[in-house]
Amino acid sequence: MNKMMKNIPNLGIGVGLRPAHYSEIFAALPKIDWFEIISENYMNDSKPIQDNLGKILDHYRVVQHGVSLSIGGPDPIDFEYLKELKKLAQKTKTPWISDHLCWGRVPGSHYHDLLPLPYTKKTMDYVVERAKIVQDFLEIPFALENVSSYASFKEDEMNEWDFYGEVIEKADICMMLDVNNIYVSSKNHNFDPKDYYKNLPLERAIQIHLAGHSNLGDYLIDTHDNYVCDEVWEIYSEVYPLTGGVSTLLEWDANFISFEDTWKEALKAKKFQKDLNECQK
Amino acid sequence: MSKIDPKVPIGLYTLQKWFGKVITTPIIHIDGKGIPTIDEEKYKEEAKRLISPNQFLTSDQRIGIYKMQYWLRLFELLKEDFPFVLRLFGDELFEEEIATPYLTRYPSNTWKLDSLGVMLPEWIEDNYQDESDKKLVYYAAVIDVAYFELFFAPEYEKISKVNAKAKIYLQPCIRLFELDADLFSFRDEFLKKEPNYWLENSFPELSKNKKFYTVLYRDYNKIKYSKISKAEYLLLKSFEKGSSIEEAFQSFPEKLIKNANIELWFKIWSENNWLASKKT
Repeated sequence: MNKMMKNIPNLGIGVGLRPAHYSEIFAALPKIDWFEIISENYMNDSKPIQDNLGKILDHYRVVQHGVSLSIGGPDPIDFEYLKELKKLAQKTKTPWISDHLCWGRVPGSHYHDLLPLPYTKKTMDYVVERAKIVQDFLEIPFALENVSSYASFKEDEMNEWDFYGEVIEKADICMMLDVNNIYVSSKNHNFDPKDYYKNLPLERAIQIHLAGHSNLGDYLIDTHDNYVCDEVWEIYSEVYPLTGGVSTLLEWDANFISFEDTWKEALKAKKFQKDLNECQK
Repeated sequence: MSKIDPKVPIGLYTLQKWFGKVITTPIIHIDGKGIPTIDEEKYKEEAKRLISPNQFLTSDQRIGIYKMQYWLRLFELLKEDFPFVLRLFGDELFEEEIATPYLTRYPSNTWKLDSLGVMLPEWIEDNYQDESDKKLVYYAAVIDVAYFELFFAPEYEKISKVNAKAKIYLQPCIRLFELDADLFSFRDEFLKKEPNYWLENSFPELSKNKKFYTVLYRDYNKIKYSKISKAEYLLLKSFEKGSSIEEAFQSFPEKLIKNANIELWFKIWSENNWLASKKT
């Protein structure tokens, strides 16, 4: 297994850093374990943005999470983008970098979304090859996250979890597991979440994402604008001990509540970590 | 043809090009489940062939969710960047008359979201049909663009001491405006209300019939403006491409600065960090 995976720390419980919470955070400097930033939001020379990041870095551990890598996209790997990502990583000293197992652009057009890949052997080989290149270039642990999806392809040759697990293992990279995305996709594609996480190489998981979603009746959308639902907490409580205990993060991206309440929601994770703690005792 | 990864499976690339075309086709109808319909027969047939339906949704409804997500996300981003233009139209008209045709003409081609709306003023100039308010809509877009561009603009080295012979530059996070109406105060009034408020209420009063000179600048992480005199405007303008104070005054109309306290101007400009000594 990837040598870099050996010393990955469990940072505890974190929250996605969003500008809506800056004033509250800077005023109170709340004691939280760590923040996750969206890398692209800080990959620029804007003084106000860099100043705010600097203030956060003075007080907190920061981990980078990206949304624009397009690992399964048809265009060549964007090394200019990767250089900027790496430059930011030198500043933040992030212990790992993550992005999504998806695609988001074709040459000439960027869709700003996490679009689904067909789960075929050919696609897998293609993504594995590219993930290895990204991992080599970044020189710090690189993780791919499972996405919420709303459509699947007729050409699919395997389940999402088989595709995801094999990409991670063959590319020899890390897993960033979003348990809300497992739940959203399980409803949209009618599978049992247990089948998903019980068939993953969870020893490669280095981080778990939690979030809320929107239930629109016949389908669920990953909106990150709500509290984590009970079913997702249940998946978390089962997955967390299977990972051996990894850093956990709450994402909240719209319909913001106060930072204090966001942090309270994230802290609920502690309650669901008891299984692991009991095992360790 | 743009470059593609030589190793991309051709079937995957074909599928992705198709997927992209379907989701970027403008929304015309929304079905009973709140999902945009796929209106082109060709795409509908292809969706049936490529996307699996489930017990609740058809193939085209499932890709329709991605179409909805694509447009909603970009509408939201443009609304955030163009609060003035948004209020001139209200939510629905902004999406239909501005955002949809603009994004169809200038789809995003980079991960950098700060460049999504930069071509909107040009698009309005070339495509906006209603001559009665075209000028207002155009300048509203120009001002909105300036607000977000200044936020992302770099900052050059501050001038430490004013030297008449040394070259001075206007900071890139400063923008100068010479307008026929007081659009900055007008914008302030608009922004006090929600976007759709102005659909049912009279627009605020707009002062016109003279020239209004304004400097838009960044103060820490806020974008602010100051109204300035014509002389201040012209003098600051001369530093846009770089000029020494001596050079700037050589071509300056003397009557404009007859009674001006130029020393005080430079003091304020230096304190506010509007001027830079070096370009990099």
